[in-house]
Amino acid sequence: MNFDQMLETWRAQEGVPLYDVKRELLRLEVPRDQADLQRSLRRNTWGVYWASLGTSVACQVLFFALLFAAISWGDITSTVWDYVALGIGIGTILLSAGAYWVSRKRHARYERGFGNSLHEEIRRNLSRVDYQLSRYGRLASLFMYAPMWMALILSFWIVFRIGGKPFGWLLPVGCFFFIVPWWVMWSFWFKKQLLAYRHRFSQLLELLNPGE
Amino acid sequence: MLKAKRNQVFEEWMESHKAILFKVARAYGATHADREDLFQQIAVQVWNSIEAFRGEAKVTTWIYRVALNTALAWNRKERKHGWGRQDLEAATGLLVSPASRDPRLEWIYERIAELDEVSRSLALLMLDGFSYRDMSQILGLSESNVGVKINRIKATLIAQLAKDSNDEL
Repeated sequence: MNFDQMLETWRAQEGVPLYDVKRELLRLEVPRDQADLQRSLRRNTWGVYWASLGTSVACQVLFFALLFAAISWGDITSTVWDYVALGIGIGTILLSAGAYWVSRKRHARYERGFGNSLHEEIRRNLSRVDYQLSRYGRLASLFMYAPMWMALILSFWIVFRIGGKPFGWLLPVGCFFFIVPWWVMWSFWFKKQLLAYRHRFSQLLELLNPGE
Repeated sequence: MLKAKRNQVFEEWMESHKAILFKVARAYGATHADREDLFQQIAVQVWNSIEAFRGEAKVTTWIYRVALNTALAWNRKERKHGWGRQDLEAATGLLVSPASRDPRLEWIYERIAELDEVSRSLALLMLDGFSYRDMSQILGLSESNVGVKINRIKATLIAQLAKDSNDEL
């Protein structure tokens, strides 16, 4: 074969392509589905977890500042319970951040085990969805959102304390029952979304590996 | 651009220019599983790029640019993370090879695979008859640099042809 024949051989590929493509396996939707999933997970992490943790921290800072200001102005007398309450508030925030960090770390280590192919990309996404689904009903998830409930209780406790009245559970419990239905609705909606993503990625995986 | 319109353009491009995707996937993928994976990724990138196509370049030039950029990025990523993984992963059946292959074509791909990753791109473009100007635009190299590299590639191929023609080709 000389150089010209080589060029001729090369150009013959236009007429008789190197491969045939099984079009049903060419899934262009994978990157779009993946981007949708990531947006949804980010929205849940930032919109729910960080927003609730941030609000809890802000609430606790504000109410404890008011409490200790009232103590320093001599409006009320300091007791050991003020410091216990402060400790509980900080403790729940640390516990929540710790639970979140451990959970993320564990999953990040698991995610590193996947390769770079499209097949592995789908499996990685499936594992992300499974991880989110596995958090439902776990104690760690309860710890993660504990600061929100604790901030609510402590805020009322501080208001009662500054007002010089005995603490009543009625208001915090009332608020709790007001928030919980919204919380449950959001959880169900998000879980439904996750299950839809799971179904979609499982379908794609099945298409890529029929019979696996 | 509407998704239906985009899909239609993609279908047309795939019908007329799928050979480019095959060639690039074949030149950069070491195993059949790699080629399928790379083909998928190039197809995805071509689909994504449709909106950015303004018609200033020829469709073949545009598809080649997208395909080679994807292949170069894929190659770097694979080298970094996927060392030794390819053999473990099974092919998906996306690309179906014909029963008989032209041994001369196989020979060309083997020689291309021996080149460095930029020269591999240039070899593909040269074999498809692109001008130095088009090659420099696709790869972002100067025309003189393209000329030097192409001359080296040609010389290597001619020397290999002379060497191998006696026995196998």
